[in-house]
Amino acid sequence: MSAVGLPRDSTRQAEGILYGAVGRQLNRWTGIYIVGFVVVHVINEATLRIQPRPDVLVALHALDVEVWARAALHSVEGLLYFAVGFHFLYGLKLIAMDLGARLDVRTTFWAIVALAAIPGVWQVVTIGVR
Amino acid sequence: MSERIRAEIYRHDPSTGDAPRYDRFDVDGEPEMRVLDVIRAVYEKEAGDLAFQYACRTGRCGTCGVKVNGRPVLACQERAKAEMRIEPLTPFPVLRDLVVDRGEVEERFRALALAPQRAAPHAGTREAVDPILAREIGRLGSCISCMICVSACPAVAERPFDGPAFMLELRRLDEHPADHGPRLEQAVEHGMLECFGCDICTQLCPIDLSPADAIRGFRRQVYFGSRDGKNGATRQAR
Repeated sequence: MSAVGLPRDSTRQAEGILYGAVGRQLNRWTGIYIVGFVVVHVINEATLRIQPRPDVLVALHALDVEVWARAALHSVEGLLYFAVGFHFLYGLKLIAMDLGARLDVRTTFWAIVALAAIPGVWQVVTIGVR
Repeated sequence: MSERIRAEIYRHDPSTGDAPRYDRFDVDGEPEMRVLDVIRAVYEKEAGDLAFQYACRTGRCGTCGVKVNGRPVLACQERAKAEMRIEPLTPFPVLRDLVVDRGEVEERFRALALAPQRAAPHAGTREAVDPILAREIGRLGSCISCMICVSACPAVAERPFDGPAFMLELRRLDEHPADHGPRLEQAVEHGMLECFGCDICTQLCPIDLSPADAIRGFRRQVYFGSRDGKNGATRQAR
């Protein structure tokens, strides 16, 4: 627990990164990214079963396959892995703190970023090697 | 700091119907100068009609809250920066320039009935209180109601949530052994479950309180309840 009722000293200023704000925004944007990715691909796969297929769906599927075949977009997959990792771990952190875990906001933020970056970087590197 | 400080200060008088504007002032910087010193220098030398408020100058009264470069701070405690945009606290209505109307805040505090609600009339004798619990209640009660946390809270901006300061006060009473008011229900009614859990309120609190922990204490009560329906968070913190 922190100091009781004393005015903050000259070292306690409202400067620096607001880890909670950055974490919240990252959680929101990674969630949107995951949902966007999943929705596009679920719709794409689901419409494969529609017969007869309208030309627009055929064209969209061809575009999807062509786009994801490009090497430059492998980094987007890496980003997706990071997004899934960050969103999952940040959610776990929120639940753990609600349940009584006492975690330092700054340390936890950087730990989550580092852990989430591992599968993302791994994905980009391994696909690049292939 | 011996350089010039450039301050852009929000100017607006709603009674005139004029649009809000930012006036730019240059002030001689001095070592350890605080934001309030800059505002006072502007008031004394350049803009005698600038409206702002302060009282104690030691971070105890909570009246000098402003936004500096978009971040809510106590003007008397925050170090001046070379370039500052100084604005009134949001989301409160502006009375004039940097002075906001705290009437709604006071009204909300009043509506929460923040005095211990006893189950039976006071016996007139001293009541023994666990010293650890008494210290915790005293700590929670040291909130200066500066509204820095409310101004910084993203949930207040986006959702029907009164704000962290109100949750802290409700938590204090929930911890109080003499209080039997429905504090958890009040907290839920005033938006406790809307909190994002981002801890911005804790990071910016000028007296190092943690409204986020108070909210989590209530949430644990929602999930698990407590043996006597009270004081669950304090027991867990010990």
